[in-house]
Amino acid sequence: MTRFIIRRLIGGVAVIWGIVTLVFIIGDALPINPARIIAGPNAPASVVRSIYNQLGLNRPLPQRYLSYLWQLLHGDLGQSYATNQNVSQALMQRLPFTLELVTLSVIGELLIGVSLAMIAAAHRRSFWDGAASVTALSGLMLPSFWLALVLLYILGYRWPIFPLGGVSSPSWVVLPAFTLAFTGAAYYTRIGRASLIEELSKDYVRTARSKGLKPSHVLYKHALRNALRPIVTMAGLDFATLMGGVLVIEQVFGIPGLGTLAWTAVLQNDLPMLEGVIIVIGVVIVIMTILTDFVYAWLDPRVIVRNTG
Amino acid sequence: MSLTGAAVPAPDGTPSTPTRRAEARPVREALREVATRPAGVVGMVLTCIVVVAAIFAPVIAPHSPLYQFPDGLRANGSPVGPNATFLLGADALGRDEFSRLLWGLRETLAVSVTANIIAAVIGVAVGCLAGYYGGWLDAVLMRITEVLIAIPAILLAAFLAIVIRPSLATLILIVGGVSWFYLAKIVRAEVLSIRQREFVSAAKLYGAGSGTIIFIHVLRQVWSLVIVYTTLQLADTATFVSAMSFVGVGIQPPTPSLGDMIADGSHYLESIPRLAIVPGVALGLVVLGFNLLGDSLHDAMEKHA
Repeated sequence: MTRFIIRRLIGGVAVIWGIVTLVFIIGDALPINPARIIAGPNAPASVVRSIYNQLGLNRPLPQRYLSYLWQLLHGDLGQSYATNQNVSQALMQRLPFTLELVTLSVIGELLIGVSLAMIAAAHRRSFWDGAASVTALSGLMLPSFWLALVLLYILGYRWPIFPLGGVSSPSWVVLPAFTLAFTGAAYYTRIGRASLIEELSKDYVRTARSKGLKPSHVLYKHALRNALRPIVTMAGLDFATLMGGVLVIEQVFGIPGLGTLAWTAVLQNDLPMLEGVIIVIGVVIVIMTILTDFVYAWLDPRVIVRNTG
Repeated sequence: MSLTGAAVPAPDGTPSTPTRRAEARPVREALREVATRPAGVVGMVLTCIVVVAAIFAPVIAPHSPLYQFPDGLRANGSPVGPNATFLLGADALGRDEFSRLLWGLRETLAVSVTANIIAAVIGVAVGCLAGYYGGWLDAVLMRITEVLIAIPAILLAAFLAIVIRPSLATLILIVGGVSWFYLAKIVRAEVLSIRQREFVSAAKLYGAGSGTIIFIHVLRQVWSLVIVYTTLQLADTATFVSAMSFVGVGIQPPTPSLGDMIADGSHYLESIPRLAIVPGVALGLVVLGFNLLGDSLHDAMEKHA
């Protein structure tokens, strides 16, 4: 088990290093002059040149790369070109909003998805099975940003129950989280249903039923626990991908999270900010992937043998 | 995963529930089976409608999607509703919504399909190499894949869009470049299991070189899997392209695209909701069709014990 853990951790570090390097390479290869961006379009060439030297951009590539890595190790993500504030600070300000949104969205997905899966599996091949599947399907097919607009219009404007975007009141998270939860629940419904049906056909379920236990008791206490395994691992990865994917939803609802930060960075050619967001999200994803692997290995030890054998 | 309940491996190849599959059935037989299930039929019909509409858009569309009709707007400036000339009404600039829908479908699908073909080629190549040769090549390729997965696709696209003006070619390359990861992992898992089977050893006994072994035997086994996952992936790609167009880094106006139409329509939600709703529903039908078709193909291709 320890060998497995160490392997995964080393792999994780390697991936983070890969992300950081890839970001550096792309950032370096872009045909933009950061000094020009900072100085503004009207500054004279001498000012631009002095800023260029100040930023250390005249050093050779290996030196720049190493100092970049060194700064990262100290948690310094550089200064924004646009606002000249500390990138790490700006990220930390925005991170809580994105985290709250993503966490509640994943919880919502699980709630909706697993309930639908249980309904479908328990009443297999009957009307409720079809109804649950259709509900899940409708969530799947609607683009999340489209549903976001519709919900915002209906529940934010027509019948103003929820705020019209922004984070001014604590209920700001409801509409965006629900949008993401509804559109993402379908995957959990599908896997959950298949997994539950599989579990329900196993011997230990038959034993429990023949002991005289109520079918609902069997469902909740026994089959569900085992069937949740693939769902749990999916949730981990889902959390990670959602971190980057909420960009569009944050835009629609005007949430000051990492997504909108990245977007303004794009519009302002603010390279360090954008690089910072990508790196932070990348690190979160790697951490979640490793955690998910550990959880899965703990639940199903066969994985360890397969991966270190 | 499927709505009909078949068990399937998780995307990284680790079986979430054990597969009941011994061998994959050929595509033609699978299609016949798909036609017998209601979900499959709906999927096939939707996909056909969408594809035909997209291919024949220049022929079917009653008007040009770009031309702004003077009588598309009423005296007060608001667009006309559905009538004889404008089947779905006009948009805010007086253009025919129906023609724009058809052309938008065409553009979005063209980008998605091309990108997916590129993604399929890359995914199969990487998966085969990693699965067959194993060892350090496998480890390196999988780590690279993980690095690329960890960078959110839309941010990567935005990152590149800072200076590279998003043309159709760069868009296709970007979308293709971020859509091959799951396919690579799935192909790799499949190749890993095939590698151990007898006929690979048998072929080796015959003296076939390792290159021959890969291309002939492994690919034949794998390609039905590729078809299923590419179909499913098309749904995701179409949504992704639309999301990119929605925020402005995808298909550029005035070229019509579903995401762009939704973005335009979002400004008129209170007055003319149909402008945003119609392209959204259209995109939803595309996604639904590909999903149902892919799911049913997947179910049909598994040999039930």
